[in-house]
Amino acid sequence: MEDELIKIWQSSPKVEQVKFEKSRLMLDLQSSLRGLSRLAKYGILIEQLAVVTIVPVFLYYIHWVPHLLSKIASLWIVAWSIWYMFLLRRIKRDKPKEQDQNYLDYLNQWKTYLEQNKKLTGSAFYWYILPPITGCILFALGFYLGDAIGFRRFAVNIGIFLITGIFTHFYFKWIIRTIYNPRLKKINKLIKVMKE
Amino acid sequence: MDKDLEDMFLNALEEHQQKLLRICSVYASDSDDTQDLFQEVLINIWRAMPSFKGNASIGTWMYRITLNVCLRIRTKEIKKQKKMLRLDSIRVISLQNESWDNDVDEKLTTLRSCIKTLNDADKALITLYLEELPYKEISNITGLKENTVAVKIKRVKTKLLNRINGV
Repeated sequence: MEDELIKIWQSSPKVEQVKFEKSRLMLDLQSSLRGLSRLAKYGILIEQLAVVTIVPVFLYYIHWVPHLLSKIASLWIVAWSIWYMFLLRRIKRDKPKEQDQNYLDYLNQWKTYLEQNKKLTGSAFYWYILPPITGCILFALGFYLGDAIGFRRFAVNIGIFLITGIFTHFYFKWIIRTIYNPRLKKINKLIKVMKE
Repeated sequence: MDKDLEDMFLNALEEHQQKLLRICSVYASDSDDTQDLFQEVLINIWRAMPSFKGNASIGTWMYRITLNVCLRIRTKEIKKQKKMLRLDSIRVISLQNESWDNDVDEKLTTLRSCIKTLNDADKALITLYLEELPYKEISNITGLKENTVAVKIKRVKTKLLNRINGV
């Protein structure tokens, strides 16, 4: 009976022939790699570009703005941006790359990576939202206290910063719910099933 | 990629393509999806060739990548990627064999659909078993202990046989 299963499985009514063109595959691979790399790196690249833009701007502000509080806020934003750049590099580096390990190791590696990122995203309020928003508020406050802007403009700026912060906070919650949780649930289930 | 690796890839592909294709078939919903998934598997194997160290046989190594890709990528995702790229280099052509026994054909269809109802882990184990890989090799590919592999395969086999024979 066992041989019957194998016999059925290995016999096919259709003879499937694989047509393979090596030279085309090379071109396709290059195209595929470019496409996939673009997708994978897109998010991190955008963030890195933002940081690269922010750092020189706020370095200039440290020198240019006359208000002490705004100078301190600029320094704070630059320090945070540099720290964030290192964090992005770490996230990029830690992504599981090898696919030739065994099934269980592969699952565990992805599980660890997803859990780390989920934890990081879950605590994003403290390291991604609060530091730059605080910096921006202090920056605007420096201008307001130095009478460079009126209360109305100051309040509008604060409002924009707070709304952006709240939106980002809920966006991260959504990412955890729709991206990390379902994948982790599936991986955990699979690991459990495999070990049963 | 150097010539030796290319030759190794082509030879291994020649030898294992039918087996890899059959494994892909249980993770895909239809023959188009199977082809998409198979293309993705080959791309990944090709890409990983320079990292092949020869610790395991090339067949075992290819099965590992195949299962990992089948698990990681769903065909819907491949379709999304395909909007950006077109893979014409790998085509799977089906040729009808006229002298086929209809009874066996029906059993194969039933077997495939039964396997598709299993969870991903059991699918992996049973397809490797049906490709006649020894338990030790299945253990190396999946990372499970040999005894666990044997017990689980026995359980899945019984389940499949019962379904095929309508018990």
